[in-house]
Amino acid sequence: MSKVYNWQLGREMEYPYDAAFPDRQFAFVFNLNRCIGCQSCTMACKSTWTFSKGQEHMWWNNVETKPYGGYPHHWDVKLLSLLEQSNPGGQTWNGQPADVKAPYGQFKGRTVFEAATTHISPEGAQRALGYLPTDEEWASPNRFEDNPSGSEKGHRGQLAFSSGANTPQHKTWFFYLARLCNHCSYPACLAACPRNAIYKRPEDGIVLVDQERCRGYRKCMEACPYKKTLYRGTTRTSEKCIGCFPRVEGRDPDGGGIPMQTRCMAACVGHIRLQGLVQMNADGSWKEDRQHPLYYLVHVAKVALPLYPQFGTEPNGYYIPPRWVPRPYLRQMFGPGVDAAVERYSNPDRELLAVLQLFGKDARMCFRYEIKEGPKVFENSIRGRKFELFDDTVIGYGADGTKIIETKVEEPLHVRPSQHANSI
Amino acid sequence: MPKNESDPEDPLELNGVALLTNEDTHGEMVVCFTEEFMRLGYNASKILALFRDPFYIGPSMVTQEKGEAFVHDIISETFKAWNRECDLTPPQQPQAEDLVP
Repeated sequence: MSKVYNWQLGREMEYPYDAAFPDRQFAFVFNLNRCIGCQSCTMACKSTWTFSKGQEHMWWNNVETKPYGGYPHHWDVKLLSLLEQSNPGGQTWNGQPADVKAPYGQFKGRTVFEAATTHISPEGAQRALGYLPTDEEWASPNRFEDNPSGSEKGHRGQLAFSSGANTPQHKTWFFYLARLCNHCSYPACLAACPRNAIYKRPEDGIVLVDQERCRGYRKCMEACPYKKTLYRGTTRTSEKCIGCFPRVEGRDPDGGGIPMQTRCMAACVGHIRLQGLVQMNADGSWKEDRQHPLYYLVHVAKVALPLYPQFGTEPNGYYIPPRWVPRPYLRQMFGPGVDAAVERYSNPDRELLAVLQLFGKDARMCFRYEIKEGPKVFENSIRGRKFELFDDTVIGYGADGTKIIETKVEEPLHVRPSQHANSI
Repeated sequence: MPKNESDPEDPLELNGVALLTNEDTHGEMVVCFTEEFMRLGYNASKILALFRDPFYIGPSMVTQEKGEAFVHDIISETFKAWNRECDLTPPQQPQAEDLVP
Protein backbone atom coordinates (compact mmCIF):
# COMPACT_ATOMS: atom_id res chain seq x y z
CA MET A 1 0.00 0.00 0.00
CA SER A 2 1.11 3.55 -0.73
CA LYS A 3 0.21 6.70 1.12
CA VAL A 4 -1.69 9.11 -1.11
CA TYR A 5 -3.40 12.40 -0.34
CA ASN A 6 -7.18 12.55 -0.76
CA TRP A 7 -8.26 16.21 -0.59
CA GLN A 8 -11.95 15.24 -0.33
CA LEU A 9 -11.13 13.47 2.94
CA GLY A 10 -8.62 16.10 4.04
CA ARG A 11 -5.95 13.52 4.80
CA GLU A 12 -3.61 10.87 3.52
CA MET A 13 -5.00 7.42 2.93
CA GLU A 14 -3.78 4.03 1.82
CA TYR A 15 -4.03 3.03 -1.84
CA PRO A 16 -2.48 0.01 -3.57
CA TYR A 17 -0.53 2.15 -6.07
CA ASP A 18 1.45 5.37 -5.94
CA ALA A 19 -0.47 8.51 -6.77
CA ALA A 20 -0.42 9.57 -10.43
CA PHE A 21 -2.57 12.36 -11.79
CA PRO A 22 -3.54 13.45 -15.28
CA ASP A 23 -2.83 16.92 -16.72
CA ARG A 24 -6.54 17.58 -16.79
CA GLN A 25 -9.27 15.60 -15.11
CA PHE A 26 -12.70 14.70 -16.49
CA ALA A 27 -15.23 16.10 -13.99
CA PHE A 28 -18.88 17.08 -13.88
CA VAL A 29 -21.47 18.86 -11.75
CA PHE A 30 -25.12 17.80 -11.58
CA ASN A 31 -27.77 20.09 -10.12
CA LEU A 32 -30.16 17.66 -8.42
CA ASN A 33 -32.65 20.44 -7.71
CA ARG A 34 -33.51 20.34 -11.40
CA CYS A 35 -33.52 16.63 -12.26
CA ILE A 36 -36.99 15.38 -13.21
CA GLY A 37 -35.92 11.77 -13.83
CA CYS A 38 -36.81 11.84 -17.53
CA GLN A 39 -33.95 9.42 -18.39
CA SER A 40 -32.95 11.31 -21.54
CA CYS A 41 -29.32 10.96 -20.40
CA THR A 42 -29.77 7.24 -19.84
CA MET A 43 -31.17 6.70 -23.31
CA ALA A 44 -28.56 8.91 -24.98
CA CYS A 45 -25.85 6.71 -23.48
CA LYS A 46 -27.68 3.47 -24.21
CA SER A 47 -28.26 4.32 -27.85
CA THR A 48 -24.63 5.33 -28.32
CA TRP A 49 -22.60 2.70 -26.46
CA THR A 50 -24.57 -0.22 -25.01
CA PHE A 51 -27.09 -1.32 -27.64
CA SER A 52 -25.34 -4.56 -28.62
CA LYS A 53 -25.80 -8.19 -27.76
CA GLY A 54 -24.60 -8.95 -24.24
CA GLN A 55 -25.11 -5.35 -23.13
CA GLU A 56 -28.84 -5.55 -22.55
CA HIS A 57 -28.53 -5.06 -18.79
CA MET A 58 -25.91 -2.32 -19.06
CA TRP A 59 -26.76 1.24 -18.12
CA TRP A 60 -23.49 3.14 -17.93
CA ASN A 61 -25.60 6.16 -17.08
CA ASN A 62 -28.69 5.71 -14.93
CA VAL A 63 -31.08 7.82 -12.91
CA GLU A 64 -32.44 6.33 -9.70
CA THR A 65 -35.08 7.55 -7.24
CA LYS A 66 -33.54 8.10 -3.85
CA PRO A 67 -34.00 6.81 -1.21
CA TYR A 68 -36.09 4.03 -2.80
CA GLY A 69 -34.06 2.78 -5.70
CA GLY A 70 -30.62 1.93 -6.87
CA TYR A 71 -28.86 0.28 -9.77
CA PRO A 72 -27.83 -2.32 -8.89
CA HIS A 73 -30.46 -2.52 -6.19
CA HIS A 74 -29.42 -0.96 -2.85
CA TRP A 75 -25.77 -0.59 -3.93
CA ASP A 76 -25.08 2.31 -1.60
CA VAL A 77 -26.92 0.89 1.38
CA LYS A 78 -24.86 -2.28 1.11
CA LEU A 79 -21.58 -0.40 0.84
CA LEU A 80 -22.39 1.85 3.79
CA SER A 81 -23.39 -1.21 5.75
CA LEU A 82 -20.11 -3.01 4.95
CA LEU A 83 -18.11 0.04 6.02
CA GLU A 84 -20.12 0.36 9.22
CA GLN A 85 -19.51 -3.31 10.01
CA SER A 86 -15.81 -2.75 9.44
CA ASN A 87 -15.65 0.32 11.67
CA PRO A 88 -18.73 0.45 13.95
CA GLY A 89 -19.60 4.02 14.90
CA GLY A 90 -16.32 5.31 13.51
CA GLN A 91 -17.33 6.62 10.08
CA THR A 92 -17.30 10.27 11.12
CA TRP A 93 -15.83 13.63 10.10
CA ASN A 94 -14.14 16.17 12.33
CA GLY A 95 -16.36 18.93 10.93
CA GLN A 96 -13.70 21.61 10.57
CA PRO A 97 -13.47 22.72 6.95
CA ALA A 98 -10.04 24.11 6.10
CA ASP A 99 -8.50 25.25 2.81
CA VAL A 100 -8.54 23.77 -0.66
CA LYS A 101 -6.63 20.76 0.71
CA ALA A 102 -9.44 19.87 3.15
CA PRO A 103 -12.59 21.77 2.17
CA TYR A 104 -14.92 19.41 4.05
CA GLY A 105 -12.75 18.88 7.10
CA GLN A 106 -11.08 15.57 7.83
CA PHE A 107 -12.64 12.13 7.56
CA LYS A 108 -11.94 10.05 10.65
CA GLY A 109 -13.32 6.76 9.39
CA ARG A 110 -12.05 4.10 7.04
CA THR A 111 -12.17 4.13 3.25
CA VAL A 112 -12.90 1.07 1.13
CA PHE A 113 -9.14 0.58 0.75
CA GLU A 114 -8.39 0.84 4.45
CA ALA A 115 -11.35 -1.33 5.47
CA ALA A 116 -10.22 -4.04 3.04
CA THR A 117 -7.01 -4.60 5.01
CA THR A 118 -8.93 -6.27 7.82
CA HIS A 119 -11.78 -7.78 5.82
CA ILE A 120 -11.79 -11.20 4.23
CA SER A 121 -14.53 -11.67 1.65
CA PRO A 122 -15.97 -15.11 0.75
CA GLU A 123 -13.39 -15.19 -2.08
CA GLY A 124 -10.46 -14.13 0.06
CA ALA A 125 -8.58 -10.89 0.59
CA GLN A 126 -9.66 -7.78 -1.28
CA ARG A 127 -7.86 -4.62 -2.32
CA ALA A 128 -11.02 -2.57 -1.82
CA LEU A 129 -13.93 -3.47 0.43
CA GLY A 130 -16.83 -4.47 -1.76
CA TYR A 131 -19.29 -7.10 -2.89
CA LEU A 132 -20.44 -8.59 -6.15
CA PRO A 133 -24.09 -7.77 -6.88
CA THR A 134 -26.35 -10.63 -7.88
CA ASP A 135 -27.89 -10.93 -11.33
CA GLU A 136 -31.23 -10.07 -9.75
CA GLU A 137 -29.85 -6.83 -8.40
CA TRP A 138 -28.67 -5.77 -11.85
CA ALA A 139 -32.05 -6.60 -13.38
CA SER A 140 -34.96 -4.18 -13.74
CA PRO A 141 -33.53 -0.79 -12.83
CA ASN A 142 -36.13 1.68 -11.56
CA ARG A 143 -38.71 -1.00 -10.79
CA PHE A 144 -41.05 0.12 -7.99
CA GLU A 145 -39.06 3.31 -7.45
CA ASP A 146 -41.75 5.88 -8.14
CA ASN A 147 -44.73 3.66 -7.41
CA PRO A 148 -44.33 1.44 -4.37
CA SER A 149 -46.31 -1.48 -5.72
CA GLY A 150 -44.04 -4.38 -4.80
CA SER A 151 -44.71 -7.49 -2.82
CA GLU A 152 -45.72 -7.39 0.78
CA LYS A 153 -43.09 -8.78 3.07
CA GLY A 154 -43.23 -12.55 3.07
CA HIS A 155 -45.34 -12.73 -0.09
CA ARG A 156 -42.76 -12.65 -2.81
CA GLY A 157 -44.15 -12.39 -6.30
CA GLN A 158 -47.62 -11.31 -5.20
CA LEU A 159 -48.25 -7.65 -5.81
CA ALA A 160 -49.41 -5.90 -2.70
CA PHE A 161 -51.44 -3.41 -4.72
CA SER A 162 -53.24 -5.34 -7.41
CA SER A 163 -55.60 -2.61 -8.56
CA GLY A 164 -54.12 -0.54 -11.36
CA ALA A 165 -56.93 2.01 -10.90
CA ASN A 166 -55.40 3.29 -7.72
CA THR A 167 -51.65 3.26 -8.15
CA PRO A 168 -49.97 4.01 -4.85
CA GLN A 169 -47.54 6.86 -4.61
CA HIS A 170 -44.88 7.88 -2.15
CA LYS A 171 -46.04 10.01 0.71
CA THR A 172 -42.85 11.85 1.43
CA TRP A 173 -39.70 13.33 -0.02
CA PHE A 174 -37.62 11.73 -2.73
CA PHE A 175 -35.26 12.93 -5.43
CA TYR A 176 -33.63 11.72 -8.60
CA LEU A 177 -29.94 10.83 -8.56
CA ALA A 178 -28.29 10.67 -11.98
CA ARG A 179 -25.12 8.59 -11.99
CA LEU A 180 -22.31 7.47 -14.22
CA CYS A 181 -18.71 6.41 -13.67
CA ASN A 182 -16.99 9.06 -11.55
CA HIS A 183 -13.61 8.49 -13.25
CA CYS A 184 -12.17 8.55 -9.76
CA SER A 185 -8.71 9.85 -8.94
CA TYR A 186 -8.10 6.67 -6.90
CA PRO A 187 -10.24 4.14 -8.76
CA ALA A 188 -11.14 1.04 -6.78
CA CYS A 189 -11.76 -0.88 -10.01
CA LEU A 190 -8.20 -0.16 -11.14
CA ALA A 191 -6.80 -1.08 -7.75
CA ALA A 192 -8.60 -4.42 -7.71
CA CYS A 193 -7.85 -5.65 -11.24
CA PRO A 194 -5.46 -8.63 -11.05
CA ARG A 195 -4.64 -8.25 -14.76
CA ASN A 196 -3.75 -4.54 -14.71
CA ALA A 197 -6.33 -4.17 -17.43
CA ILE A 198 -7.77 -0.92 -16.08
CA TYR A 199 -5.94 2.34 -16.59
CA LYS A 200 -6.43 6.05 -16.13
CA ARG A 201 -5.57 8.18 -19.14
CA PRO A 202 -2.85 10.75 -18.45
CA GLU A 203 -4.43 13.34 -20.73
CA ASP A 204 -7.93 13.53 -19.24
CA GLY A 205 -8.16 11.09 -16.32
CA ILE A 206 -10.81 8.94 -18.00
CA VAL A 207 -10.72 5.40 -16.58
CA LEU A 208 -10.86 2.65 -19.21
CA VAL A 209 -10.86 -1.16 -19.33
CA ASP A 210 -8.37 -2.60 -21.81
CA GLN A 211 -10.53 -5.18 -23.55
CA GLU A 212 -7.43 -7.10 -24.74
CA ARG A 213 -6.13 -7.62 -21.22
CA CYS A 214 -9.43 -8.13 -19.35
CA ARG A 215 -10.25 -11.75 -18.56
CA GLY A 216 -13.59 -11.07 -16.87
CA TYR A 217 -12.60 -11.90 -13.29
CA ARG A 218 -15.06 -9.21 -12.14
CA LYS A 219 -12.81 -7.99 -9.35
CA CYS A 220 -13.52 -4.47 -10.61
CA MET A 221 -17.26 -5.04 -10.22
CA GLU A 222 -16.69 -6.24 -6.69
CA ALA A 223 -14.43 -3.31 -5.80
CA CYS A 224 -16.12 -0.30 -7.42
CA PRO A 225 -18.19 1.18 -4.58
CA TYR A 226 -20.46 2.94 -7.08
CA LYS A 227 -20.99 -0.32 -9.01
CA LYS A 228 -20.22 1.22 -12.36
CA THR A 229 -18.32 -1.60 -14.02
CA LEU A 230 -20.44 -4.30 -15.60
CA TYR A 231 -19.80 -7.77 -16.95
CA ARG A 232 -20.57 -8.69 -20.54
CA GLY A 233 -21.28 -12.36 -21.00
CA THR A 234 -20.83 -12.40 -24.78
CA THR A 235 -17.23 -11.19 -24.60
CA ARG A 236 -16.45 -12.43 -21.07
CA THR A 237 -14.99 -9.07 -20.19
CA SER A 238 -15.95 -6.13 -18.03
CA GLU A 239 -17.10 -2.88 -19.57
CA LYS A 240 -17.75 0.57 -18.18
CA CYS A 241 -18.44 4.17 -19.10
CA ILE A 242 -15.72 5.42 -21.45
CA GLY A 243 -16.46 9.09 -20.79
CA CYS A 244 -17.38 9.48 -24.49
CA PHE A 245 -13.63 9.96 -25.00
CA PRO A 246 -13.82 10.69 -28.73
CA ARG A 247 -16.00 13.69 -27.91
CA VAL A 248 -13.76 14.75 -25.01
CA GLU A 249 -10.79 14.61 -27.41
CA GLY A 250 -12.61 16.91 -29.81
CA ARG A 251 -13.05 14.27 -32.50
CA ASP A 252 -16.83 14.57 -32.80
CA PRO A 253 -17.53 16.38 -36.08
CA ASP A 254 -20.22 18.49 -34.39
CA GLY A 255 -17.63 20.07 -32.11
CA GLY A 256 -15.60 21.60 -34.90
CA GLY A 257 -12.42 20.17 -33.37
CA ILE A 258 -12.87 21.36 -29.80
CA PRO A 259 -13.79 19.10 -26.83
CA MET A 260 -17.47 18.32 -26.41
CA GLN A 261 -19.42 17.17 -23.38
CA THR A 262 -20.46 13.52 -23.27
CA ARG A 263 -23.67 12.30 -24.83
CA CYS A 264 -25.49 12.05 -21.49
CA MET A 265 -24.54 15.64 -20.60
CA ALA A 266 -25.54 17.06 -23.97
CA ALA A 267 -28.88 15.23 -23.99
CA CYS A 268 -30.08 16.57 -20.63
CA VAL A 269 -33.33 18.46 -21.17
CA GLY A 270 -33.44 19.77 -17.61
CA HIS A 271 -30.13 21.64 -17.91
CA ILE A 272 -28.87 19.95 -14.76
CA ARG A 273 -25.44 18.99 -16.11
CA LEU A 274 -22.15 20.72 -16.71
CA GLN A 275 -19.06 18.74 -17.63
CA GLY A 276 -15.50 19.78 -18.25
CA LEU A 277 -11.80 19.13 -17.83
CA VAL A 278 -10.15 20.68 -14.77
CA GLN A 279 -6.46 21.37 -14.33
CA MET A 280 -4.59 19.37 -11.71
CA ASN A 281 -1.66 20.12 -9.43
CA ALA A 282 1.11 17.56 -9.06
CA ASP A 283 -0.32 16.55 -5.66
CA GLY A 284 -3.77 15.75 -7.07
CA SER A 285 -5.56 18.86 -5.86
CA TRP A 286 -7.27 21.12 -8.37
CA LYS A 287 -5.11 23.88 -9.79
CA GLU A 288 -6.60 27.26 -9.10
CA ASP A 289 -8.54 28.24 -12.20
CA ARG A 290 -10.89 30.90 -10.92
CA GLN A 291 -12.81 31.42 -14.14
CA HIS A 292 -13.42 27.71 -14.82
CA PRO A 293 -17.08 27.01 -14.03
CA LEU A 294 -16.38 23.66 -12.34
CA TYR A 295 -13.60 25.12 -10.20
CA TYR A 296 -15.95 27.91 -9.20
CA LEU A 297 -18.82 25.56 -8.27
CA VAL A 298 -16.66 23.07 -6.34
CA HIS A 299 -13.97 25.23 -4.72
CA VAL A 300 -15.25 28.80 -4.64
CA ALA A 301 -19.04 28.67 -4.24
CA LYS A 302 -18.75 25.16 -2.75
CA VAL A 303 -22.28 24.28 -3.81
CA ALA A 304 -21.23 21.07 -5.59
CA LEU A 305 -20.13 18.10 -3.51
CA PRO A 306 -18.69 14.65 -4.26
CA LEU A 307 -20.93 11.58 -4.03
CA TYR A 308 -20.09 9.48 -0.96
CA PRO A 309 -16.61 10.97 -0.48
CA GLN A 310 -16.10 8.66 2.50
CA PHE A 311 -15.64 5.71 0.13
CA GLY A 312 -12.19 7.21 -0.53
CA THR A 313 -11.89 6.88 -4.30
CA GLU A 314 -11.98 10.68 -4.80
CA PRO A 315 -14.84 10.64 -7.32
CA ASN A 316 -14.89 13.39 -9.93
CA GLY A 317 -18.67 13.67 -10.13
CA TYR A 318 -20.09 16.50 -8.01
CA TYR A 319 -23.68 17.23 -7.05
CA ILE A 320 -25.61 20.29 -5.97
CA PRO A 321 -27.76 18.65 -3.25
CA PRO A 322 -31.56 18.86 -3.45
CA ARG A 323 -32.80 21.52 -1.05
CA TRP A 324 -35.87 19.77 0.28
CA VAL A 325 -34.23 16.57 1.44
CA PRO A 326 -33.60 16.09 5.19
CA ARG A 327 -30.04 17.04 6.02
CA PRO A 328 -28.93 13.83 7.78
CA TYR A 329 -29.61 11.89 4.58
CA LEU A 330 -27.73 14.43 2.49
CA ARG A 331 -24.79 14.54 4.91
CA GLN A 332 -24.41 10.80 4.61
CA MET A 333 -24.52 11.01 0.83
CA PHE A 334 -22.42 14.12 0.16
CA GLY A 335 -20.42 14.66 3.34
CA PRO A 336 -20.30 17.53 5.82
CA GLY A 337 -20.31 20.27 3.18
CA VAL A 338 -24.03 19.83 2.65
CA ASP A 339 -25.43 22.44 5.02
CA ALA A 340 -23.31 25.25 3.62
CA ALA A 341 -23.94 24.11 0.04
CA VAL A 342 -27.73 24.09 0.46
CA GLU A 343 -27.60 27.43 2.21
CA ARG A 344 -25.59 29.02 -0.61
CA TYR A 345 -27.67 27.49 -3.34
CA SER A 346 -30.92 28.58 -1.67
CA ASN A 347 -29.62 32.15 -1.37
CA PRO A 348 -27.57 32.49 -4.54
CA ASP A 349 -25.26 35.44 -5.04
CA ARG A 350 -24.76 37.34 -8.25
CA GLU A 351 -21.97 35.17 -9.64
CA LEU A 352 -23.65 31.87 -8.80
CA LEU A 353 -26.86 32.86 -10.58
CA ALA A 354 -24.83 33.71 -13.66
CA VAL A 355 -22.72 30.53 -13.63
CA LEU A 356 -25.82 28.35 -13.22
CA GLN A 357 -26.95 29.72 -16.59
CA LEU A 358 -24.07 27.87 -18.25
CA PHE A 359 -25.65 24.48 -17.54
CA GLY A 360 -26.97 22.77 -20.64
CA LYS A 361 -26.48 25.75 -22.95
CA ASP A 362 -24.04 24.20 -25.38
CA ALA A 363 -22.73 20.70 -26.08
CA ARG A 364 -19.15 21.95 -26.28
CA MET A 365 -17.11 22.06 -23.07
CA CYS A 366 -16.75 25.37 -21.33
CA PHE A 367 -13.20 26.05 -20.11
CA ARG A 368 -13.61 29.63 -18.96
CA TYR A 369 -16.40 32.06 -18.26
CA GLU A 370 -16.69 35.79 -17.88
CA ILE A 371 -19.50 37.90 -16.52
CA LYS A 372 -20.48 41.27 -17.93
CA GLU A 373 -22.39 43.21 -15.35
CA GLY A 374 -25.94 44.18 -16.20
CA PRO A 375 -28.58 46.38 -14.58
CA LYS A 376 -30.16 45.65 -11.22
CA VAL A 377 -33.59 44.14 -11.79
CA PHE A 378 -34.91 44.33 -8.24
CA GLU A 379 -33.98 44.21 -4.58
CA ASN A 380 -36.00 42.34 -2.03
CA SER A 381 -35.86 40.14 1.02
CA ILE A 382 -36.03 36.39 0.41
CA ARG A 383 -36.15 34.01 3.37
CA GLY A 384 -35.18 36.88 5.63
CA ARG A 385 -32.09 37.88 3.65
CA LYS A 386 -31.41 40.78 1.40
CA PHE A 387 -31.48 39.66 -2.20
CA GLU A 388 -30.53 41.58 -5.32
CA LEU A 389 -31.05 40.32 -8.84
CA PHE A 390 -28.85 41.64 -11.63
CA ASP A 391 -29.42 40.87 -15.27
CA ASP A 392 -25.78 40.01 -15.93
CA THR A 393 -24.51 38.39 -19.10
CA VAL A 394 -22.41 35.25 -18.78
CA ILE A 395 -20.10 34.25 -21.60
CA GLY A 396 -18.49 30.81 -21.90
CA TYR A 397 -15.42 29.92 -23.95
CA GLY A 398 -14.31 26.59 -25.40
CA ALA A 399 -10.87 24.97 -25.25
CA ASP A 400 -9.42 27.17 -28.01
CA GLY A 401 -10.97 30.38 -26.74
CA THR A 402 -13.97 30.23 -29.07
CA LYS A 403 -17.04 31.88 -27.59
CA ILE A 404 -19.55 29.06 -27.23
CA ILE A 405 -22.17 30.55 -24.89
CA GLU A 406 -23.59 33.99 -24.29
CA THR A 407 -26.71 34.26 -22.19
CA LYS A 408 -28.31 36.43 -19.54
CA VAL A 409 -29.50 35.72 -16.03
CA GLU A 410 -32.98 36.86 -17.04
CA GLU A 411 -33.04 34.64 -20.08
CA PRO A 412 -36.21 34.91 -22.16
CA LEU A 413 -38.23 31.72 -22.69
CA HIS A 414 -39.36 31.08 -26.21
CA VAL A 415 -42.26 28.68 -26.62
CA ARG A 416 -42.88 27.20 -30.04
CA PRO A 417 -46.50 27.78 -31.09
CA SER A 418 -48.62 24.66 -30.84
CA GLN A 419 -49.24 24.50 -34.59
CA HIS A 420 -45.46 24.26 -35.12
CA ALA A 421 -44.68 22.01 -32.15
CA ASN A 422 -42.95 19.36 -34.25
CA SER A 423 -41.75 21.42 -37.14
CA ILE A 424 -38.00 21.20 -36.55
CA MET B 1 -19.83 -15.66 -5.76
CA PRO B 2 -22.23 -12.89 -4.80
CA LYS B 3 -22.24 -11.82 -1.18
CA ASN B 4 -25.95 -12.32 -0.62
CA GLU B 5 -28.96 -13.30 -2.59
CA SER B 6 -31.65 -10.65 -2.64
CA ASP B 7 -33.98 -11.26 0.27
CA PRO B 8 -37.52 -9.84 0.36
CA GLU B 9 -37.33 -9.87 4.15
CA ASP B 10 -34.22 -7.71 4.11
CA PRO B 11 -35.00 -4.47 5.96
CA LEU B 12 -32.48 -2.65 3.75
CA GLU B 13 -34.54 -3.48 0.68
CA LEU B 14 -36.46 -0.31 -0.13
CA ASN B 15 -37.84 -1.27 -3.53
CA GLY B 16 -41.59 -1.54 -3.39
CA VAL B 17 -42.09 -0.42 0.18
CA ALA B 18 -43.36 2.80 1.68
CA LEU B 19 -40.84 4.84 3.64
CA LEU B 20 -42.10 5.85 7.04
CA THR B 21 -40.94 9.26 8.11
CA ASN B 22 -42.37 12.22 9.96
CA GLU B 23 -40.21 14.66 8.04
CA ASP B 24 -42.52 16.96 6.09
CA THR B 25 -40.51 18.76 3.43
CA HIS B 26 -43.35 19.34 1.00
CA GLY B 27 -43.23 23.12 1.42
CA GLU B 28 -39.51 23.32 0.64
CA MET B 29 -40.06 21.04 -2.34
CA VAL B 30 -42.69 23.39 -3.79
CA VAL B 31 -40.47 26.44 -3.24
CA CYS B 32 -37.54 24.72 -4.93
CA PHE B 33 -39.47 23.53 -8.00
CA THR B 34 -41.18 26.91 -8.31
CA GLU B 35 -37.92 28.84 -8.19
CA GLU B 36 -36.19 26.50 -10.64
CA PHE B 37 -38.95 26.69 -13.25
CA MET B 38 -39.48 30.40 -12.64
CA ARG B 39 -35.80 31.01 -13.41
CA LEU B 40 -36.24 28.99 -16.58
CA GLY B 41 -38.94 31.47 -17.59
CA TYR B 42 -42.15 29.60 -16.74
CA ASN B 43 -45.05 31.73 -15.56
CA ALA B 44 -47.05 30.88 -12.44
CA SER B 45 -49.94 29.18 -14.19
CA LYS B 46 -47.57 26.91 -16.11
CA ILE B 47 -45.85 25.98 -12.87
CA LEU B 48 -49.16 25.21 -11.19
CA ALA B 49 -50.01 23.00 -14.16
CA LEU B 50 -46.87 20.95 -13.40
CA PHE B 51 -48.12 20.34 -9.88
CA ARG B 52 -51.45 19.13 -11.28
CA ASP B 53 -49.78 16.73 -13.72
CA PRO B 54 -49.98 13.17 -12.36
CA PHE B 55 -47.09 12.12 -14.58
CA TYR B 56 -44.77 14.57 -12.81
CA ILE B 57 -44.63 12.49 -9.69
CA GLY B 58 -42.89 14.71 -7.14
CA PRO B 59 -45.01 17.83 -7.62
CA SER B 60 -48.25 15.89 -8.05
CA MET B 61 -47.51 14.06 -4.79
CA VAL B 62 -47.44 17.40 -2.98
CA THR B 63 -50.74 18.47 -4.55
CA GLN B 64 -52.38 15.21 -3.55
CA GLU B 65 -51.01 15.31 -0.02
CA LYS B 66 -51.45 18.99 0.76
CA GLY B 67 -54.10 20.22 -1.65
CA GLU B 68 -53.86 22.73 -4.46
CA ALA B 69 -54.40 25.76 -2.22
CA PHE B 70 -51.13 24.94 -0.42
CA VAL B 71 -49.23 24.85 -3.71
CA HIS B 72 -51.03 27.90 -5.04
CA ASP B 73 -50.07 29.98 -2.00
CA ILE B 74 -46.39 29.04 -2.17
CA ILE B 75 -46.18 29.77 -5.89
CA SER B 76 -47.78 33.19 -5.32
CA GLU B 77 -45.43 34.00 -2.43
CA THR B 78 -42.38 32.90 -4.40
CA PHE B 79 -43.28 35.03 -7.40
CA LYS B 80 -43.88 37.99 -5.11
CA ALA B 81 -40.52 37.52 -3.39
CA TRP B 82 -38.78 37.40 -6.78
CA ASN B 83 -40.64 40.51 -7.87
CA ARG B 84 -42.40 38.75 -10.72
CA GLU B 85 -45.94 39.08 -11.88
CA CYS B 86 -48.08 36.15 -10.75
CA ASP B 87 -50.84 35.30 -13.20
CA LEU B 88 -52.69 32.97 -10.85
CA THR B 89 -56.22 33.76 -9.75
CA PRO B 90 -57.19 32.87 -6.18
CA PRO B 91 -58.13 29.20 -5.86
CA GLN B 92 -61.84 28.61 -6.09
CA GLN B 93 -63.72 26.76 -3.43
CA PRO B 94 -65.10 23.49 -4.82
CA GLN B 95 -68.79 23.66 -5.64
CA ALA B 96 -71.19 21.09 -4.24
CA GLU B 97 -71.70 19.51 -7.68
CA ASP B 98 -67.91 19.07 -8.07
CA LEU B 99 -67.70 16.84 -5.04
CA VAL B 100 -67.88 13.19 -5.98
CA PRO B 101 -69.72 11.17 -3.33
